[in-house]
Amino acid sequence: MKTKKLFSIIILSLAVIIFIAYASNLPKLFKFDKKDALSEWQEKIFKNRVLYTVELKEDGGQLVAKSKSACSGLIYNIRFDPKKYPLISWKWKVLKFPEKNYYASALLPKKSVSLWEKILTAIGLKSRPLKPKPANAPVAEKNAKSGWLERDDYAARIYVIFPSWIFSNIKAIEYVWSDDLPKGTIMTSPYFSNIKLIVVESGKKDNDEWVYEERNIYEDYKRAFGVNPSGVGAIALMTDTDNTLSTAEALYTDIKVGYEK
Amino acid sequence: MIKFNDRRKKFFANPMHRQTFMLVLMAALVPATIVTICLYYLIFGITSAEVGFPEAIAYNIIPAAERVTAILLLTAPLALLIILIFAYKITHRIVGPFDRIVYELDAHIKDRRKGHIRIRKSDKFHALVEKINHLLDKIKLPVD
Repeated sequence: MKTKKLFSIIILSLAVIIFIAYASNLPKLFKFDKKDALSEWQEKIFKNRVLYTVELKEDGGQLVAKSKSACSGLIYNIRFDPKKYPLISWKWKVLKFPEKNYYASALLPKKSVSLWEKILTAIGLKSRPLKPKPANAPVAEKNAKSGWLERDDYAARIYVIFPSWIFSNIKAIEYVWSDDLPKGTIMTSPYFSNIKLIVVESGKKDNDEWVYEERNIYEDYKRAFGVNPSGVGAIALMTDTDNTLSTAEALYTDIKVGYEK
Repeated sequence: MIKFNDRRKKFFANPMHRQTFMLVLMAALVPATIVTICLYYLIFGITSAEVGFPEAIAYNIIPAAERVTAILLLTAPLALLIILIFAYKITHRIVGPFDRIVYELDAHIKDRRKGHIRIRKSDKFHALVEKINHLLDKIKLPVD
């Protein structure tokens, strides 16, 4: 009986410690105002390396991302409940958009469909590239457009990642700044049906000022996927030009995550 | 008493046959299941967590997992079927003669049968049957 009580107390204490550890970490603010500000982020390189550097200014700091036919991103693992802490905000600025022309796209090797994929698709174990959108979700399916995969480069994007025990069930929302797609567009990634892209800014801004964004992760997830979200596991940012084989440059600052109004 | 005519209609000759067969089946299935879980949720799962970005997971890890799944789906049922056939045959050869020996001894005790106990060539326990037959011969020798 005593052992059971002791065991229950230990479990309860651990749960409280974990809860406090998570709660005390929130909200998390990234101001990029220190030289070693990127030390808490993990860099993931997929194709060449995007140059991510911190620039210190008098009024704070900024993260500069310069991409030249490259695809790499920065990821920060943070766990919280998006229902309780639904907001994410950041400031960004795009200095140069990727050039989305079809000549560069033609140089890229096409992904061939293997025999295995054909078999899996035929027996229903592999979903077809374009899954129908969930009912009641106002998702604009733009990805049927030819060549869209090759144009899947954005000057700036912020990820909110929802991990899963089953690795193939990982989901993500990407807030992108597109040069050509209209603001408010929600679409499915050409790579994976579990990734929804939300265009939060479109085109070049006339004045060279920071653009402030604040998004409700919980509501965006529900709109994009049509169901309630699970826990957030990480946030990430990326400036990529590997598909368009061009260059892009963007600035990020004051990323704040895990808070409520 | 065991009825041999009914036995042929059943998949398992007796409970011992079923138990031995299930043991062999479990010995094949349990390690295979553990390996599959380790493969998916330790190798693919940990790699996915390490990669982090969903596009990279979708482009690199999921196709690899799908290929492994396809190979498993094609080979595992075949391998399992072969194991089951062999397991059934081997366990039948082990357990089948046991019932036969019991039946034959019972017949000898009740004087319904005389002579040696016979089992199939492919059956196990030939040494045991040989000793029993030797014992039967000895018992039936006239006492000097």
